[in-house]
Amino acid sequence: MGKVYTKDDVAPSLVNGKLIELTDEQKQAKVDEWNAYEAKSAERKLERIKSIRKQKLEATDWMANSDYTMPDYIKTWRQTLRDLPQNNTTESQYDTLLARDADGNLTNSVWTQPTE
Amino acid sequence: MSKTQIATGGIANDAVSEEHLDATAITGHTALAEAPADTDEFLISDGGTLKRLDASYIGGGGLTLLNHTNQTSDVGDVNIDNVFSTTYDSYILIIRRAIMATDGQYLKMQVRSGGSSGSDYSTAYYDYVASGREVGSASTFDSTNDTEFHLANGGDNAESVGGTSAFLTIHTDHSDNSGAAMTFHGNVKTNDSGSTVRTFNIAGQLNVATSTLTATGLRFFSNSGNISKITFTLFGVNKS
Repeated sequence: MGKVYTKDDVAPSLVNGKLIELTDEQKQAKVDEWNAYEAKSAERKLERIKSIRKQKLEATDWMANSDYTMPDYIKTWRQTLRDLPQNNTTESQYDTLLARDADGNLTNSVWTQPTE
Repeated sequence: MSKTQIATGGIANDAVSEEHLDATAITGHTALAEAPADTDEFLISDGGTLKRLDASYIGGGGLTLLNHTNQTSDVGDVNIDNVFSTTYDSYILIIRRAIMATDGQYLKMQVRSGGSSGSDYSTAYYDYVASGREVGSASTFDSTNDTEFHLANGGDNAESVGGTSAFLTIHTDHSDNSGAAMTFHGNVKTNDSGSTVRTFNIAGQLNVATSTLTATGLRFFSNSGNISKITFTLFGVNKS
């Protein structure tokens, strides 16, 4: 669950260089919009995980060609990737999967293609 | 200034030189306080010969500054009205250091209509596609029939990584009623919530004809929460 906003969180609008305070009704409309977005925080993280997974799987799809025998350790890794959604169901687990280091690289070992 | 008596017979040819002119010859006049019209004239020396020069020849560049906004405290959204008109068909928008108040959020853009007292156009006719990359993987986002343009798909509210910046070319077909109310394309730099840099090539269209909607301004806002800081500069691309 993401952040939960209240009307106090809504800052004025800047309209043609002038700050305009919103009415309570306008503030509530913004809060509703923001909270609706925040409520789908976990959903968006799962989509991100699926997107990264798709790229990782596509990178080894060529190994499934008929003229090549896919190594077992690659088969196992690809299955692990496919099982990620069913084995990770909470937002904190999603955060762990999406963690990156200071250089922007994904840090969870599940994303690293194994070598023999 | 005191008046100087002119000798009988007037001033001899070429007799007025720089020491005879006081600065009030310029400062004493009313300031124009706007860009000169094409037929306004300057006095210049053309290789030693004084000539008059129409302002249209000055060619102050192909761009005209229409708006510069530098907001440095929290706002719910930023609106600029009355910047699109028949004077220009194309515009260049530079966005710098757009920092969302909440980590992980990103910048969105809407068209406004109605001139100087504009209103948001929120009907679901916004289409956009962004293709890009972040460290180690591709990153894309797109939508059709959305209620606004998304300019990124994530962001970092740490100012040290510069927030979101963009260079966008915007087109409005005001002079053609069958044209699109607004289209844009350009490049965006942004981050995810962990400071990872992302870049996108982005394009969008407001799928409404100018005969139905006349775009006159823009609105910028965060997908969730306030905008902490944003600077943007909008130029009109001169047609001649």
